[in-house]
Formats: sequence, structure tokens, C-alpha cells
Amino acid sequence: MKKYLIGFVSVVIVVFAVMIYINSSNKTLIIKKDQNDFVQVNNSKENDKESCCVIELKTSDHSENSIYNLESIWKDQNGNKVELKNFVGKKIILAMIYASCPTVCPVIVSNMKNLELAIPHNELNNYHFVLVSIDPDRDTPEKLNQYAVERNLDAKTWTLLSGSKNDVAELAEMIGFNYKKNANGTFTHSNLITFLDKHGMILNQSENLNQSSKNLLAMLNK
Amino acid sequence: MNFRILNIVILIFAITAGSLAQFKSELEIHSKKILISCGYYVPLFKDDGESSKFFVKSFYLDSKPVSNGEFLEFVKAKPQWRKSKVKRIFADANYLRKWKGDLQLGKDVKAEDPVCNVSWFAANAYCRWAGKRLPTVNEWEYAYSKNFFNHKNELNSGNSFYEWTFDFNRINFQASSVCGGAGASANDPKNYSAFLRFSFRNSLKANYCLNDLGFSCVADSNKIPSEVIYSENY
Repeated sequence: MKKYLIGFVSVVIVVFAVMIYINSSNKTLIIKKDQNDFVQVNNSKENDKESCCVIELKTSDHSENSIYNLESIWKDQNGNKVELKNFVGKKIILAMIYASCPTVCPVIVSNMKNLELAIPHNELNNYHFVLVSIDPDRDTPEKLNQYAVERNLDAKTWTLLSGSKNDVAELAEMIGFNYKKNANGTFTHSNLITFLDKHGMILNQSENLNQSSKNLLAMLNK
Repeated sequence: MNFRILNIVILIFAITAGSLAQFKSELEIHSKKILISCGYYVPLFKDDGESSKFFVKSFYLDSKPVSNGEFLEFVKAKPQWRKSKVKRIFADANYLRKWKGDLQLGKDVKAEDPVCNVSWFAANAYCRWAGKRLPTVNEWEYAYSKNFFNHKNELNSGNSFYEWTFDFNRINFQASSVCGGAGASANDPKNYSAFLRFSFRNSLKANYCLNDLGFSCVADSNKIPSEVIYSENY
């Protein structure tokens, strides 16, 4: 009887080993299938894994509702990598625009420039102006740099960002900015200037194109 | 001796049953992908100055909405998307409301059922993690018009079930702000269920987590790379 018991136990062990093997081989099969289907993305998965922990440490200080919780990496007008959380510590005046925008965006940018002029010069260091392109296909850092030069936007106080379509969509969702590309290459979009506090929380938003710089300054310093 | 042989027979049976069950549950939890071949789609809403037909490029669609089991694998790999860790700006307080814990589904939540109470941010992050992306409204509606979404009726026994799309609030956001204005510009005013879907999408915010709102992922078809959708003048 004891002999049978030992036999039984050993068979059970073997069975467990076999089941575990089947389990794991099943999973590898599925992973392999994914790799075949989406070769490119597997690379980004690995990158994500590497970067996730670092980003988590950095964002843990931010508030639940800060837009700096976004982990996206952008490029400024000089081609340098920028994360939104790099703006921590300054009040941000942010607008989403595109360089070839014929009518509305120039008005938004000019309103922002007037606001810049309304801020006392010695306090300007506490503020930063950010333009985010919604047209990543055409608005390369070079194009945005040219845009900044044409409009005399000082790189010390102005950053023009371009990013992936996905990152643009995520930021737009966060600040409630709607946009849609039309067949002729223009965009239909919200007219929105967003003011962020030093921690990336939305202080105020202006949807009015005819806003005076005095009003904008009041909204910014709410 | 006979007793031993019987033991072995029973155990072989157990192995087979075990591995079959494992295989079956993999099939139930994980979706396959369906190739949706390219074609024309007539959107519900007309846009001034635009053609009323869109050409939708071929893409792969999940055979069913992302399941609780699949989403569990995602939150295991990405701790920032666990129920207790997610930031409110990415998902409201109803995020994964029916789940028992960060990594536990609980008794009433089946692994093979579609995951719901997930925000747009979470759905988008899942698809990207899985090497896919959320479908555009045009892709979703095109696939729906081709009857590729039949499975949803079985899963939800008559309840309406909606899905996130990448550009859920971008279509017709101007017309929707005018009461009744949307109906006037619709290509097919009789398409009541489409109206419901479009108005529902317009009412959403990206961090909302609702009971009947889940998602499927899509992937670009390698057969035709580059941009997925472009409008076609004809």
C-alpha cells in the first residue's frame, strides 16, 4: 500500500510539472503570436517598462488633477526633448494651435503676446508661454522655430511644442480642447487659452477671442 | 497493480482536461483579430465643404471588446493603472468599480466579460500597451455598418453597450452645441441608433468611467501602411 502511495505521489508531481509546462508554453505561444503581429510595438513596450518606474517617482509629488501627470515627451522649437512637468514652478499660459492656421490662431497668439506685455518685466520670470501644435505632421521643430522667429516670440518665455498625435490628443482631452482635421488640411478647433498654476492645475480658461490683456492678466492671477 | 493503472488513467484524463480548460479560458479571455477590408463609409454627419464619403483603410479589429481578464494583465504590468493608484485626472471614482481589488476581479466579475468602467485615458493606454490603438469613430462606425459588432448583443443581453473611440468628441462638436442642429446636417436622419451613439459620445469626458462603456482595440493592417483614414473626393 505504501508503495502505491509513493507511486501515486510521484505521478501527481509529474502531472503538476506537465501542467505547469503546458501553462507556460501556452502563454509563450500567445506572446510569440503578438510579436509576429506587432513587431514595432513590442519595442515600445520594453521602453515603457524601463521608463515607467522613473516617471512614477517623479509624478508622485503632483496632484491628482495636474496635467503634469501626463508622461508624454515633446520636442521644443529647438528640437530639445521636453516633458510637461519641466514647467513646474511657473505659471503657464498654454494654447493649442497650428502654424499654418489662417485666422484664429494668430489672434490667440497675439492675445498671449499682449498679456506678456501686460506682465511687469521683473515678474516675467514667474510665467511661461507654451504653444502646442495640433498638426504634428507639418509642424516640425524647425517650422515652429520659424513661426516663433516670425512672431518675435522670445525663447526665454515661449516654448513651442510638437509631439505625437496620441500625445496631442491626450493633452487636448485634459484641457477640454476640441479639434478636428478637415479635408482641406485646416483644423476646426476650440479657441482656448488655458492658465495653469505652478503645479500644472488648471486655474482658468479663456474662450473669448476679444479678451483684453487686462482681463487675461486678472484670469491668470485669480 | 490494477489500482495503479487506474490512477494513471485518471491522472492522464486530468492532465488533458486541465490543459483543455486552460486553452479554452485563453480563448474566452483573449480576442482574435478580424481583418476589416478597406471601403467607403458615409458618416452620419455632413461637413460643409467636405465630401460625404470617407475611405477607410484596412485594419484589424479585436473580435470582441477587451475583457476583464485582458485588462487585468494590463494593470499587472502597469501599476499606475490599478484601481487604487490611478490619478483622478485619468479616471473618475467609478474606475473599475465592479472589481474587488487592484488585482482581484471578485465573484461577480467574469474574466471573459468585457471590461467596463474604464476611462478613455485607460482604454487608450491599454491599446497602446497591447501594441494596438483605439479605433477612430469612422473606423468603428464602418465596422459596425459591416456587422462586425454582432457579438455585443450576446454579451450584454439586451443592454446597450458603448465603446470608446480615439476621437470620440471630435466629430461634429460644433453642431452638437446647437439644439436640433445636428439632425439637420445628418446624412441619414433615420439612423436612430447612430444618433444615440453620436450624442452619447458627445456627452463624454475622457476621464468618465461608465457601466456600459468599454472598448475594442484595432491595429493597422500591414497590407496598406501609412495613414488610416483620409477623405476621398469623388
